[in-house]
Amino acid sequence: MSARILVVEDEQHLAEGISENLQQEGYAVEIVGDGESALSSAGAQAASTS
Amino acid sequence: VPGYPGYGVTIRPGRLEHLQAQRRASIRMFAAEGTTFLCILVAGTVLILRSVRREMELMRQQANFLSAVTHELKSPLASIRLFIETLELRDPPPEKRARFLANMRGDVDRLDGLVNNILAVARLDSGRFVVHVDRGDLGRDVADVVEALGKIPRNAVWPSISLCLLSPCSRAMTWACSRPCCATCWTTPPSTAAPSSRCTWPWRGRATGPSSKSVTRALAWPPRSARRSFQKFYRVGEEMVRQTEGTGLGLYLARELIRQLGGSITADSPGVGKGSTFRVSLPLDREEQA
Repeated sequence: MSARILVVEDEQHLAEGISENLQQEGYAVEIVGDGESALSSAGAQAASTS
Repeated sequence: VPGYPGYGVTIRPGRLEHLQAQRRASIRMFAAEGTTFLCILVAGTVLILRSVRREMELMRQQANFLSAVTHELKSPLASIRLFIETLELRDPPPEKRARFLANMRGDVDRLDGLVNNILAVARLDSGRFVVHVDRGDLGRDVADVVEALGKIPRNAVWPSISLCLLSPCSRAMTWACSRPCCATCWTTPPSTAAPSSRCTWPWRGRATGPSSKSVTRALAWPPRSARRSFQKFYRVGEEMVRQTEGTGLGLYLARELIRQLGGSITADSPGVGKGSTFRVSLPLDREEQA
């Protein structure tokens, strides 16, 4: 199972470019646009893995 | 005399009247001088407060300028650099390559717009910006605006945009409406910004009145911020936690250009998250008015 990376970036272009490069390196990528979404996403991920 | 039992003071009637007249004159003088000094004090305080307020406004503009321009320069540059390196290192398939190039073109357009806006503000402030009024095609101009609005990506901040045109001028409206007085509106999304009759905004102006159009956007602000939104570098909320790109120059430039055309622009919003409405009024051509 590949490592999972949460990308927090409000610029859609940048997020897409970063995601593309990380995916090419074999990571699973999730993109969110702000801090609140990042916290809830990270919380949901932690709950699902515990 | 108190403290001197057996002694008294006698003043001649003429002298007493003279002293009383002197006393009244002194009271009048002190009242006049006191009022004058009070007025000077109040005026000075008001001037100092206005000066402090202006100074604070300049400091806010400077801080907003630095913050917004830094962000608006850095983000597109970082994006362009990222895509150049991605194209160099990853050799993506053609469809991704095309998308990356389109992203880079969008970033270059964004930088170009920023520089043009700053130059326009500099020319406006120095009085070197002069609008040359010429006859135009209202239908074509509105079609351009509708097309530009359709290109704005929709998200939580920009869920929809409507453009309404109101005109008493039959010739200008023949492209959209055959009646002499009508309102025609476009709403996006859906992606095709086709004219619709959903907006029933009655025209109340005289036949020789100004043509008007209005753009409603989902962006919004507290009611007291409506007038300030036209100030240079003014943006609602905290500069460090922006959800939208921009420098706070667009509405300032719009107001100044519309003023130079002899028109006016107003903005109002019922509150944060409830949308906002901009009304632009422009004078008709003299031949159209005739």
